[in-house]
Amino acid sequence: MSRRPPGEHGPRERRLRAGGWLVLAVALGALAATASASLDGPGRARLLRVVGILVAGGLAVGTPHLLFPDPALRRLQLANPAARRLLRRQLGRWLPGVAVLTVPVAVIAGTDGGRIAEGVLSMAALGLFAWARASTLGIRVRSWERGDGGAAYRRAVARHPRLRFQVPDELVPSFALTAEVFTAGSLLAIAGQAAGEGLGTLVAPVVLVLVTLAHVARERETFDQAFWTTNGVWEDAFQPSGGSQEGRAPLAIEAVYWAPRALRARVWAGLVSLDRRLPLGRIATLGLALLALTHLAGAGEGLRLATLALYVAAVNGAVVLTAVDAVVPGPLAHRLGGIGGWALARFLMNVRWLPPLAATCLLLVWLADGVGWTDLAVWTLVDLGAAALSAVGVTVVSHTRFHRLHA
Amino acid sequence: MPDLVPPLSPDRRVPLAVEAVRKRYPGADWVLYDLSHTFQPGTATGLVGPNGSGKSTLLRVLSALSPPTTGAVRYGTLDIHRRPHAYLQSVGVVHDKPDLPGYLTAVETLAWVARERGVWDDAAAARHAALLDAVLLDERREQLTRTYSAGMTRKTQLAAALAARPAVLLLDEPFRALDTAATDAALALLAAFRDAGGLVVLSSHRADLLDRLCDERLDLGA
Repeated sequence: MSRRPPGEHGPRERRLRAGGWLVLAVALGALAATASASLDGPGRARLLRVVGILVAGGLAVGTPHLLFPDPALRRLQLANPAARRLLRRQLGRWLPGVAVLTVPVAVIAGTDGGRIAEGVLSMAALGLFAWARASTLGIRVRSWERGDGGAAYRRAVARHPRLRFQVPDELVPSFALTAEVFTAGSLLAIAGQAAGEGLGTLVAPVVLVLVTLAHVARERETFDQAFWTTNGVWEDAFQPSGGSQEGRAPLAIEAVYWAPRALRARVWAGLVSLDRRLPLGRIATLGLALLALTHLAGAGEGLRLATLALYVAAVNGAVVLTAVDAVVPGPLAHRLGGIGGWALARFLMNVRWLPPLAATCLLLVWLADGVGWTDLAVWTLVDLGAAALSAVGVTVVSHTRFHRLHA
Repeated sequence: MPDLVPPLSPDRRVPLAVEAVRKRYPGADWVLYDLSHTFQPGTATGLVGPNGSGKSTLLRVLSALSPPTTGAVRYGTLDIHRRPHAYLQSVGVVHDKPDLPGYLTAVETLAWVARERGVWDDAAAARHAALLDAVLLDERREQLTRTYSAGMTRKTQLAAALAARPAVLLLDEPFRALDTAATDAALALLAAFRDAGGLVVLSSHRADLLDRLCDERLDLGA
């Protein structure tokens, strides 16, 4: 079996997916070129490490959400591939993303072969590590569920209840995964900085690759257990009957008072669904922290612009999930309103991230050098523009797809 | 239907034992609590109970799609959640949520399943045609499954589950969306599978259909 079950996508979808990866690679490459245009050699090396930490943050939070549950889970059950083929399939789904991430890294590295090798190898190592740890997450969650794992944590929270995470105990391993991946990315950056130049910079990523490959080699014969268990655990976490895994109450419809009455229900439903599907709050917080950091640290103009562009793209791009049938089924969306209404509703879902951005910019006007009121106005407008663009784009594409399928 | 569902050899007639299974979703109450039950080969068991009593959850646990919180499920001596691939080789599943490869026809879907499962042989194509006849899927079996109605999708799911030549059939609401004739045909096929030594576990809100097929009922709402 190829890594994809046959019949999973038509030729048009396959072309669209390939095109999507290409567009993403070009966009990230262009962003990287902007960020590194004015930098000298050491500046590029520093930027590479900052980007490494940034990507580590993204992978730490996003990897399991991107991998699980496998969209072809039930079809795979029909075919029942063996452990190694499941491993190949899952790795095959993951590697294009890692390959795309190496594009901006190679662009930032410039013409220095050593820097290119360090950057690309670090990115590959981190991507593989995140994948390997996320792939076996279910086994660890299950071990905590049964009480076999997490004894130290339980003892600690028994003595100091304040240490308890605001999630059920069995979901603590997913927090640990976040910490592991982010720590690995940070250590790679620190080790690279400490090594300076030359072959020494390759030691840390090579070690991480080898450790990860050893882990994968150990798991490959029993990967079916990891695959089915992790998919099951992840599906369980997002079951409608699964209760609130966020550890906090969902958004109340009254809190969406700022949306027009006619659109309030769908804006509210979209926001609640998005919050349950993706930890967007954590992603936005991480993005704003990086934005503030790059400005307060006096990073170059290119890097500051790139960080802002990445933040705006991430928080406004998430609305694409509302076009997925599992979140808002196409026929339901179609019955509830036309393109105009849905585009406006999605725009309103996006603009909830405008106040935190504006507040951060306001702080930077006071605290950072070279940030003025004009910047605040421009950034606000850029975010509003991106919010509108993504809302309209997602709505048009989802409506077109619906009409094509049900013509 | 002896050709469609030939008698299972004695070594494939293995019980499926649920041992003190508890199951809950993160942050929620128990859905299954200390459930123990052994499903015997050559029998059909209907899962009954009100909405939310855990019928679909138990079927997900039995199909290795979801691990139990505590306890174990054994197929013979095999812990199904420790060695899911080995277990699933003996299992055909009809999920409540249809998920067929949309760009294959029903005929191609069955061929794909049989080849992947290693049960493809010279007679497979004829056997599959007979299976699709048995579930009353008409000439549209040569069209892409993404164009199918809900009933046609259900028929294809049932045929695909049987194309894997399983010893265990797990079915979540298999009669939903089927018309009367198709329901009768599906019942006859499942009865033949059971009589050939197969183990059937199914959930359905149609008590009359469970009465016609099942040897026992497992009440999860009790």
